[in-house]
Amino acid sequence: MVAAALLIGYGTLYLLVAKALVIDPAAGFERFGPLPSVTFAPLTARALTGWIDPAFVAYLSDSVVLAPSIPVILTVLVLGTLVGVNGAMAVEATIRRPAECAVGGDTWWIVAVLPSFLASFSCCAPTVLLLLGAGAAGAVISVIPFVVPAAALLLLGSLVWSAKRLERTTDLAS
Amino acid sequence: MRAGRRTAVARCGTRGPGERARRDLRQDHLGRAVAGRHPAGGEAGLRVDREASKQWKDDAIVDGFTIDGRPRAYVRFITVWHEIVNETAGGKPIAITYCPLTGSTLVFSGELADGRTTSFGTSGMLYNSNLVMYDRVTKSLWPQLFGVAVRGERKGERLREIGGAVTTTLGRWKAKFPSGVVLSKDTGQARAYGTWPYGDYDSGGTPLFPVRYTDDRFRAKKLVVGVREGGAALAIPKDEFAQRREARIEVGRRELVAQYDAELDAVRVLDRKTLEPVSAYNVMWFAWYAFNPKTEVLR
Repeated sequence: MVAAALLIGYGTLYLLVAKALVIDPAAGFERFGPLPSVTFAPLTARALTGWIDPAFVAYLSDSVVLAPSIPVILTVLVLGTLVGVNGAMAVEATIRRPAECAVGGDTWWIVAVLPSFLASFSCCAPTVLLLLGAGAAGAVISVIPFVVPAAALLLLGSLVWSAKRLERTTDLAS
Repeated sequence: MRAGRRTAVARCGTRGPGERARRDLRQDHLGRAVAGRHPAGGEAGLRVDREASKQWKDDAIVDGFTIDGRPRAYVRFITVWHEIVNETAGGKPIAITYCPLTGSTLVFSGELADGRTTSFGTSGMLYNSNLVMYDRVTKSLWPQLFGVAVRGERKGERLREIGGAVTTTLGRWKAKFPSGVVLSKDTGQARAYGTWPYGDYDSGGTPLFPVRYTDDRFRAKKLVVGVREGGAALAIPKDEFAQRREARIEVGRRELVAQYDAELDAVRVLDRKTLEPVSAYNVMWFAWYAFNPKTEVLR
């Protein structure tokens, strides 16, 4: 349940940052037809690889539209699942932890979750530009293509580490 | 006036049929690659329709002009995502181009100087933060506000601009031209129409991408009406001119008259002798100056 909640929370946050999910009370999406509505893009090579080409556009209400690309959907599912499992293991480790181990060392879970948030930069270049200005953003943007794979690797690494730690905690508790 | 130290060329987007031309631009070290949110290419399926005027509310922003006796309006909700609409008017190809980063809409003829006809696509590149188009016949690159090919077979050639385009609301446009055609919302494409790729970029701040020349007489994104004739350039600050209503001007030795059209809340520029509209369009000040550093300003 923790994993599912984190997947949903992370996924929603990622979609918002990536502007694949827009919530705008003033948008007036009903001007584009009856709501709710869904339009699918033709399945092409470009649609499969383009970060900014939506796989579908779903007008959910007058102020909410969901338009993720296939790479964004995959990123949400893969990184969201990894974040969720990492978080669930952190919670499980806390529950199983013997009382005498409770002092200090409680920040390790940050290592498990933080990398995934780095991945939010992978598809929000305009946001980065707006925040940093073109000059500073130039340096940031050059590393963006590597952020998602790096986040996935870090999350996988932290998952293995968490699993070992959980195993050790379980041994100690028993 | 001062020259910007950074390069004025940036790449925006990663794909598109102009890939070879874009490579050329990169190889010439004119710019560096910068990722962005511009979708490249693909405006297939966009069309104007008499019935489409009923699809939109009156507050929709449109770029409108009349050609071959028929008023046409292009809704920004759609063009902000596609940037170029290729159409035929009076049997001849035209391209309606809108760059959201410079706020400029220009209409070009699709006839090249050698008589060949072409359509245009977005190259995914920017010059002075402005849309760089490519023609589909020669793959030459054409910055929208320059109107001259900067790379490729047609390098140095100027596209023919079609004058008379104004930016207004659909309600105002329909009131003046009730029989016109309007860009349909039925594009057949999956885009999040109704959202804006650059958020509130229009409302203030600085340009996202480097420009070659800058000037601080006005705020960067203030809208001016740009007129370019015979190698000379004139900027008309739109809001201020609305009070003045009319002015006789001379640009590049061509005698013109600028008029504020209260019905459309737009500025038109006409040839003083023929009263034919000349190319004059809304554009953000920073972009106008970046392309025309010797511009004069109508006071």
